[in-house]
Amino acid sequence: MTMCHRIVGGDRIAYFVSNTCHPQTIRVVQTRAVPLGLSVVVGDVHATDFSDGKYFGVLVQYPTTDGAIEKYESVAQQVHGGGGLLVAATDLLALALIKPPGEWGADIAIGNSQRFGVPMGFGGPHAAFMSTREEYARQMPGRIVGVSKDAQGRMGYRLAIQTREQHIRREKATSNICTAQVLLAIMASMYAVYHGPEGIRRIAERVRAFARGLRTGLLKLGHRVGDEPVFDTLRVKPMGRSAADVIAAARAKSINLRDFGDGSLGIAVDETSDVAAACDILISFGAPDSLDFEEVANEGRAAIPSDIARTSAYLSHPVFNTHHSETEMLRYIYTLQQRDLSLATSMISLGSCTMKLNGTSEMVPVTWPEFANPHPFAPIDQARGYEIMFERLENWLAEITGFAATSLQPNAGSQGEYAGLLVIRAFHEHRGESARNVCLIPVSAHGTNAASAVMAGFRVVPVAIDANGAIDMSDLKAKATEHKKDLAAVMVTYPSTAGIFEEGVRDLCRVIHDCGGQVYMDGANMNAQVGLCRPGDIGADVCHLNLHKTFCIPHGGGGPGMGPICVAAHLAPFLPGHPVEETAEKRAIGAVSAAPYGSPAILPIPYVYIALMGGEGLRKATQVAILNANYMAKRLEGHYPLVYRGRNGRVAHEFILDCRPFEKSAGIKIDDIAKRLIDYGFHAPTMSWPVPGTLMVEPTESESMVELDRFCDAMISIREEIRAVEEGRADRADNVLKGAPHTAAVVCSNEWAHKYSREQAAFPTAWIRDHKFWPHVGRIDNVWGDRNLMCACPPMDSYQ
Amino acid sequence: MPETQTALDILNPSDTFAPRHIGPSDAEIGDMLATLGYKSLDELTDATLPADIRLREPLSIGGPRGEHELLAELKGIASKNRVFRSMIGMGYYGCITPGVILRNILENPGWYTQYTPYQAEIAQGRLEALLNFQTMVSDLTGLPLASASLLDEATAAAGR
Repeated sequence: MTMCHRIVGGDRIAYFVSNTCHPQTIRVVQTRAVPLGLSVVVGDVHATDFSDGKYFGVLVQYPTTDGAIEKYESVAQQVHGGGGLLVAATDLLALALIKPPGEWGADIAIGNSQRFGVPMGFGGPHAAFMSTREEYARQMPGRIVGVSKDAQGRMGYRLAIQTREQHIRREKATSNICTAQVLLAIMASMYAVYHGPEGIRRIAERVRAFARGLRTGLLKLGHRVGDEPVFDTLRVKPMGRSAADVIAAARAKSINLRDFGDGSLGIAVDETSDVAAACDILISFGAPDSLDFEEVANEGRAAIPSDIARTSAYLSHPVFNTHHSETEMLRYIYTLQQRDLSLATSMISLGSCTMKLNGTSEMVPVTWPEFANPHPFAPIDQARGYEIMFERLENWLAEITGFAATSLQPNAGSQGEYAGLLVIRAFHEHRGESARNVCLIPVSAHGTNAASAVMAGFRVVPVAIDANGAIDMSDLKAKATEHKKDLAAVMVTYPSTAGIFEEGVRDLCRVIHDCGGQVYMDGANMNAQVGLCRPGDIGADVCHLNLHKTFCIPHGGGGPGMGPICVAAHLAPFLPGHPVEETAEKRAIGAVSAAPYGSPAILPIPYVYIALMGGEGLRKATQVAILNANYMAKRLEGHYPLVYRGRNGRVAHEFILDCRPFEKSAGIKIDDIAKRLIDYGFHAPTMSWPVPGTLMVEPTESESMVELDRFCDAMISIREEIRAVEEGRADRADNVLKGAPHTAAVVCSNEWAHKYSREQAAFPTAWIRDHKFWPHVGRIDNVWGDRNLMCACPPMDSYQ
Repeated sequence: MPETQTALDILNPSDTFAPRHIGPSDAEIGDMLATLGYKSLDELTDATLPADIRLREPLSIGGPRGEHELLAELKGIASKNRVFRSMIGMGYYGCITPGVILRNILENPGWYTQYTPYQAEIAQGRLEALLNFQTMVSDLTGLPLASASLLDEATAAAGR
């Protein structure tokens, strides 16, 4: 919706959503539209005229939520004639058999890749997808992987056109995503690699055969079933018995059906369906126990009608046609895995990202069938186990933050920010102060803050920071007072994004409250607070928690994550509502995620972490995180100046090393240091954030002193390499930093023209001989990649 | 009193987790504190945090637990979920996670502990897998450009 709005532009504010979309999709779109001043019209696309240009976009579901495969060619023509865009919410498995949206006029396709091998998990996590026409590349949200080349001209991949993202564009960002379900997207892609086009088609045809067999059987029993053609879902009006009776009969056989609430039922079959389940369904609708489903299914066989059948090829690239034996698949997975540096390799000291241990005992329950397999809209009385876990976890998170209530719905930190700000907005509106729309944000804040504030309909007013990276209190007071009439909130990160426990944070809260605003605390640095201080006690009104930072959910290469919010008592009535059911609490903001509890399957991770550690253990973890950071800062301060320090010269759980002087003294840029660290077997700390030309180091409590020392030794050794350039002992243009990272191919090559040795390049210290991690490619050329955008698997001849 | 405590302590779980989660040993913690000139973690905390925001009571969360017994308890809680065969649909479907993917991707720290692939040179594995995702989505939807990836279908519909 917002992407269409950006592309179409102009003064159109109306978005049309087909009433045959999934209800949770409609609900989330409605929630999103309100603060942006957009209006959502839900109705019948086939009974609406789009040629008048009233709508900037139209959303349809294909196949529809009740299983119909509708044709939208004429809708597309009308929408385009009116200058709008057509979006298709669609199903990847169905598209193996039916004409893809791009071939009937859709401009954008979206959907969930869950059924490509990712468990339902009571709602998540799974990866959603989006595709569009090439001309809209810069308007598209989410990360885009593109192909580029490295310093030796070899092909390499990297994230493309990052200039769209919130960490660069802030409030003008077209993409506000930190955690993007990467691990789940990888699972889905591996499912396609494993099955290939033939396998995917076979699964889709099998699913369709079950649906058609059920349709035939139900018609024979005299029930009313939606029209042909169908893929996997049927809407049935039972005849001669009530919908409730059928649901009860199915449930007695441990099967959940969808209740449309109007006397009709939904049946959706899938890859796990089998003959026994199909028989159970038909028996629930009154078929005799002696039913022979295979006979019925045979009767129901028919080719897909040619006017909707897919004729174009898909998954033709060799990668989808090579790894179909388990041996080949296993080796493909491990080949790729070996190209990546993970916590299984060495510490990843990314400031603000908290790459701590993801404990095995925390991870084990994630794939237990009891947690992995429930459907998000299964009757809640079947999810008692989840309820118990949610309740305990909500209470623990409230205790840790000093707040009264928790919502587990937001699916990422950025979504938590958005939800928390919507709660604040609803609070002001409820008090008749809807004019309050100014959100104060320090210029040093995470880029997501500003992007989320805009999504929540707020106007961003930046607040200055002082020489020590702290919020400039006099500027804050001035701005808060200036906006006394329309101040909605301040967004503050604590400890600050500079890695300092600022003094005066209580005063800050007081100033904002005195001016009628609410205090939103960004929980990105909550891992430095747990057990030592609490947002609620400090004076904040709401905060989100990055469960993937502080509470051990793994980063998964860029997701999953969770961003629950905790709020003070006065905000509790406004917490997000259910995406499908009516929420009892009328003041609740709408749904922010498709599933009521976000991504429940990964909630055992923080649950197990908190329970295992206990109150004392959590407190000690925080103290050691602070100790580790201060120890490293102490070891490195003689080599790299520290940009900021707090009271008594101490830093919090992270610290910033100044690398700006080296550009002048040695021509060495921050990128050169980051890439050189790869030669030492380390991932670079956070680069150029929150201060350009610096490195922000966050060791976390999980790294031992030995590992901290190894990293410090590497940084000190790199400082000496820089000094060699400064003192003219190494060449300014051809040195170990500029040439980094060095691949095995480069170091082993017969040609070596550098002004430093191969050993200096690849084995700069003794311990690397035991720890060598070889990068798969040399330095990637980002600019070349963005100029020559290629975002799909390249043809085989480019692998030379 | 001390004798009773010793008798009880010996029966506590031997697989408590905090010493596994926290990297430095108590001896290393002592060494690092000495480098900084502090005698205890509490002394370092006092020096680092403003006094007026300190939480003075312990968190009311309970004591440390053993990994084995906690997982057994959680299994009991999990078993209160009754997992029915779902035919609800609405964008969520039962599926078969191939064992080779379940064990070697989802349950493999080599795949789940990486960071976002901003340092491309040491992220070529997942970048290739994500490029495969984009190609798969692009092929199946018939639209040339796909991203990797978004939070859920509903938020994808909402736009960013």
